[in-house]
Formats: sequence, structure tokens, C-alpha cells
Amino acid sequence: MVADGDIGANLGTSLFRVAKGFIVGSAVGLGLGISMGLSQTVEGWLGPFFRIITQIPTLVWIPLLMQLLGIDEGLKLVVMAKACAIPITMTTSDGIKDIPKKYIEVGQVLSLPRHILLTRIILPGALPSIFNGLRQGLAHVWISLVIVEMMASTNGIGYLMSWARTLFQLDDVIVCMVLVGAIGFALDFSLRRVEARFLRWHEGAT
Amino acid sequence: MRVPRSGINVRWQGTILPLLLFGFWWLSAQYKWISPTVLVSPVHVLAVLGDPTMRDALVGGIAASAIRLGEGASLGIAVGILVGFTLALSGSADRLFGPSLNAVRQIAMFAWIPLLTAWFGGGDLGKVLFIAFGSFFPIAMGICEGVKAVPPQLKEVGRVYCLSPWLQFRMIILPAATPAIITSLQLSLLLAWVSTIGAEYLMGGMTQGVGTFVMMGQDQVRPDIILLGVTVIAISGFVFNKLVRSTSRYLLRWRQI
Repeated sequence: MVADGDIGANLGTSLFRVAKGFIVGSAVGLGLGISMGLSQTVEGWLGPFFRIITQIPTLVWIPLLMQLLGIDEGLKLVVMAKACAIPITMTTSDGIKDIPKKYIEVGQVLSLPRHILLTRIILPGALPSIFNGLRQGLAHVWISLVIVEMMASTNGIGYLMSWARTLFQLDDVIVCMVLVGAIGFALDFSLRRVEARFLRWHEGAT
Repeated sequence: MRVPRSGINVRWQGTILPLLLFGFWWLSAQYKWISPTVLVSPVHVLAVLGDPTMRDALVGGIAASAIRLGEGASLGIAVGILVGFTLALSGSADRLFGPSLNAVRQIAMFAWIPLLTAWFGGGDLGKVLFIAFGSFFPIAMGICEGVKAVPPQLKEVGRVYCLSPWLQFRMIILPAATPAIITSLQLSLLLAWVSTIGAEYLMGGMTQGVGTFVMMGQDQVRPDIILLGVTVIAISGFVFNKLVRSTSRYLLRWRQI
């Protein structure tokens, strides 16, 4: 299976999907999280509904989304983006709300304009929790992609795995499983490296 | 100075978006903006319940899923408690099995489904084992970490009083690790619920279940069945979540003094 390029091609498809899902999901998650963290109005309108949605795992929605979106790339993108955006939104908005009031007061005393207050005080203050959300989000993107590929796809690593199972090629199934684990680990590891780089100043600063 | 908003006001705002979405769903189905093979109105969804066969399939499915959840979760949690304590209390067991368990845990739970169906079939056995598998890890790891995190000072007290190993475990380690154990139990139960639905979605087989009910709707291209099933699953998940969380809060109430 490795030799005939099946794995390589399907893995490539899956990883490309992960990249798309993570970009869209984290953009939505950061946007929602920042606006829910900063504005009480947005929080009041979206917060309760959002919290209800969060309690239902992504997996449950997949048949419904398949019904609405078919089984094309659109479905995968929406599933991954949803799985990714939810933890990011939660941690970002919580991170912003948890910034000590005195930091923001310093900014106000210095009468910083709003965008400087945002980029110099609020976002750096929330960065550790934002990264926490990004890591959770990336993990969820990967898992949900494997699930959705197992349920509705004609390519990708999840599809390859369930196809190999249909043919009873269990050795291939196990290869795919190990790959799923290894890639999940590698994705998290690389994001951890990025985090360590961005948060160097943060060490011991708490 | 901004006047703090009243709780009622906030709740009122929060209902607007879901109501709008619900209205949009209703209207788009009513006026056929979306093809009826894709989306049907809430009335049609409820009409499924009027069909006795469907009602039986749904009610029977809920019962079957609940039983499956109970079986899988109790198996997984029982083994998890055993393994967790063994790893936590015995250094050699931890050195022997800890690394392999950690490696296995790296693989996303759902990636096990093809292998488990190949080994144990898509029937009840395979599903219950998958649920047990899903609920096993949080509790095993949680107990392991919780017990290891018991402060050494507490253990020293036990040694000073020359307590027998069993009493040390019963009087000191267990109470100190209880919060961690209950938190991981909560996680285990929630994962067991997700695995139940996942197993029914993905493992097929000739068994009943709410997830199977949804899959049946998908096979027959019946959006009303899918919508009803997913709604029931979502509500049951919400209730289960609330129940598990409030129970664990209740069990841990002594901690918040």
C-alpha cells in the first residue's frame, strides 16, 4: 500500500483538508472569541446559543450536515471548521475576560487608542489561552476529519482505513491507525513549538 | 457609568438567534427554498412520530442505546479504575505498561472503529467494546495522575501513624485523590456517550439504537427521520451532559467551602 502510492496520495488529500479546515476554523473561532470577549452585547446575543451548541459533539451533527451539504469538500470543511472554531472561541473569549482589570486600566490611564489597547494589552494577555484553544482546535480538526472521511468520502486517510477494513486487509488498517496517531501527535507537537516561540516572554511571568 | 444588566434581559437576547434559525428552517422548508429531499419543515419531522413503526424504532432505539451506553461505560470504567490504581500504586506496573498505554492513547479513539469491527463484528459486542474502550482512558489516566499527585506530606502522616498499606490507601490516598477521580469519571461518561453515538453511526450492524435510527433515515433518504433522530440525540446529549456535571458538582460540594 505504501509502495503503490495509495497512502501518500490519500494522506496528502487529508493534510490539505486539515490545512483548509484549520485556517477557516481558527479564523472564525478567533473572530467570534475576540468579539465575544470584548463586547458584552455580542456575548449576550451569541453566548447562550453558542454554549448549547458546544455541548453537542461535532460527530452528532455529521448526518444532518451530510443531508444539507452533500458529501463533498464543503461538508468536510464545515465539519472541521466547526470542530476547530468551538474550542478556540471558548478559550479566546475566556482568556480576554480573564485579563486582570489593572492591565486594561493601565492602558486607559495612558489613553491608548483602542487598536493599540487591543494589540498591545488584550491580545498578548489572552495569548496563552488562545494557544491552548488553537491546539485543541487542531486536534479536533484532525479527529473530525478522520471521522467524516470514514463516514462520507472517496479519498483521504479515513476512507482508506474503512476501505481496507472492507477488504479485510487488517495490516493496512493498522498502518492507517498508526499514521492517524502519529500525525495527530506531529500536528500538536509543531503547534507546541510555535507556541513556545511566541510565548518565550511569558515564561515565569505569571 | 453603565448600569449592570438584569439576568432576564441577557436571557432574552440569547434566545433571538436560535429562534431566528428555527424560523428560517421553517420558512425555507415551507416555501421549498430548499428541496424537500434535503430539508423538511418541523411539522413533518414531528409527523414521523405519528407512524407507529417509526415511533417504535425510535423508542426502542433510545432504550437500546441507553443499555449499550450502560454496559460499555461500566465495563470501561471498571477496567479503568483497576488499571488506574494499579499503575498509580505500583511503580513496576507503571514502568511496564505506562508507555504503551500512552502510545495507544495517541491514536484517536474513532480510528479504532475499523479494527474493532473487523475483530468483533458490528453487532452489540463490537459496539459495547468500543464504548468501553472510549471510557477507559480518561478514568485510568485520571486516577493514575490523581493518586500520584497526592501531596507527600499527607502520605508521611500515614507513615508516622504506622497505618497499614490498606489503611493508608483508604484513609489518605483515596480521599485526597477523590476530586481528580470524580472529574475523570465525568469525562469518561461523556466520552462513553459520544462513543455510543459514534459506534451506532459508524459500525453499522443489525442492532437498534438512536444512531442507527439516523443512519436508517440516511439510507432511505428521509430527511424527516434524520432531523428527528439528530434532534433526539442532541437533546439527550444535552441532558446527559447536565446530569453528569451536576452529579459531579454535587459529589464534590464538600470541596468548595
